[in-house]
Amino acid sequence: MARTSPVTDWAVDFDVLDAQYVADPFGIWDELRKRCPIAHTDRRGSTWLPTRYEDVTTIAHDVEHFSSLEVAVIPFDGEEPEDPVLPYGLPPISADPPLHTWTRRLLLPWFSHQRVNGYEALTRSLCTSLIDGFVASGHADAAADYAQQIPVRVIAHILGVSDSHADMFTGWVRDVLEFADDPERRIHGVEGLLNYFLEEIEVRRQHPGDDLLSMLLHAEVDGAPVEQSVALGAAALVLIAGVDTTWSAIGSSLWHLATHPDDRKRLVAEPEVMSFAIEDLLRAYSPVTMARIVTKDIEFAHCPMRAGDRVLMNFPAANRDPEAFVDADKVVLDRAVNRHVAFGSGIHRCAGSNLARMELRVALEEWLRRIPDFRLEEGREVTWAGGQVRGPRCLPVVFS
Amino acid sequence: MPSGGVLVRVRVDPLKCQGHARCFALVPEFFEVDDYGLSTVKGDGEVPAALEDRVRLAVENCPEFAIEEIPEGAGQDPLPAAPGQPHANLSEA
Repeated sequence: MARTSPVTDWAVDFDVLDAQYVADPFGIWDELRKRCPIAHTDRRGSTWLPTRYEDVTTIAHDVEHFSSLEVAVIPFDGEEPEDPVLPYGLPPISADPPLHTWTRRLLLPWFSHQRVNGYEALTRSLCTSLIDGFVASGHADAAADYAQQIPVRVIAHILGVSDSHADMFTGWVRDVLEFADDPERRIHGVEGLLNYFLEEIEVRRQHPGDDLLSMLLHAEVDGAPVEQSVALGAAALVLIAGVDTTWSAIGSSLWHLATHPDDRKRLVAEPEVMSFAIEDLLRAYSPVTMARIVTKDIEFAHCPMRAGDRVLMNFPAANRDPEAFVDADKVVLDRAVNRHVAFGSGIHRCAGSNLARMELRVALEEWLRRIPDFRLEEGREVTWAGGQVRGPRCLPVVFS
Repeated sequence: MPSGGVLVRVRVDPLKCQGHARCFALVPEFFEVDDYGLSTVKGDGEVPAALEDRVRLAVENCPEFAIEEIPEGAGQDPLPAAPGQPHANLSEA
């Protein structure tokens, strides 16, 4: 199969699941920005990969030519069911206006600044108890034992589902996002999530709580109740979008601090830099790439895009564009001017960005408070996941 | 820091603001954000001298280029949008 063959020319035959791209895409983007700057591939269908800040943000704002009806970076390679459980996908992320507009308004208040402040104490105590579990041993997998454990539990709390299922949620979300190239695994993840939420929906129809899922089921829009498939899709979205992404940002940030002792020491010594530091860590290690579908044939930046083509919203590469950022390839903890688009750009700006920022900040604060001096464990490999969401999946560190 | 001298008054363009909330994080005394993420300036947008540096930082950190400086004596009208905004690259085939 072509999809597993090595890439020889990134400009015309790129593959975001290529091991080199997953481990270290930065040099590839630099080269493409100079040569291309929008790459193309026919692996998994005709797909474009912009690499410049201006191109990515322009496409993100042009919802007329670039639809969000399919946002998966890896198209589903199995048989589509005739009668899908989620005819609207996962609104609002997989919707264009007008469905996007009203479903997004249902979710946004749950992730406002004020609400997110209310989740901070829970997040902090979660981080503390996770660290309690490994701090005495002198080593940890900062991805699996720490980063991975935090956002899923906060999101479970917001949705009103038990965090005792956290590992199960994480498994399903990884099936959907990280193993998207394996149709069986992808179906397993989707079915697991949907069946779980369908049961929870039944409970909440009878006994509504003050959680997000109950709100979705009992909300009225223009005098009519929200269709169950819309509520189900939105609830699944909150879980899928709130787990892998933030966990990846926390993991990448800890990887950076484990491998850049000067930055680590500075952040310990000058905690007031933290609010700027998280923005530059988000910029430099942006986890999320989304897709758009071209709605009608257009020529964009000299590229003949055809209706149905996929365009990968390469926010991570946009954030490394030297035309948009000074010292784009360097983390500058106190970078003052930083219009990064780690959370996207335009009408699909990540609805959970306030929550993600809080989780990243608290996770780093608590880690550095308890474990100010740490480094990668020698002889053990750091592994990365990529594609839709990039971040470390195994991050062995040691500390004294 | 870009030129422009003294920052007198600013506004948030509600059509451009997408709720990144960077301005609110930088200057919570000056910007407000509603439940849906829309930012607005407090009062008529006149920038207190003591906040000028941080408000300028907010202008320069908005990913949507949504915060506009209003020149002195220009009433409430915003400046034209900054160059390099969407659609510069696009032509329909």
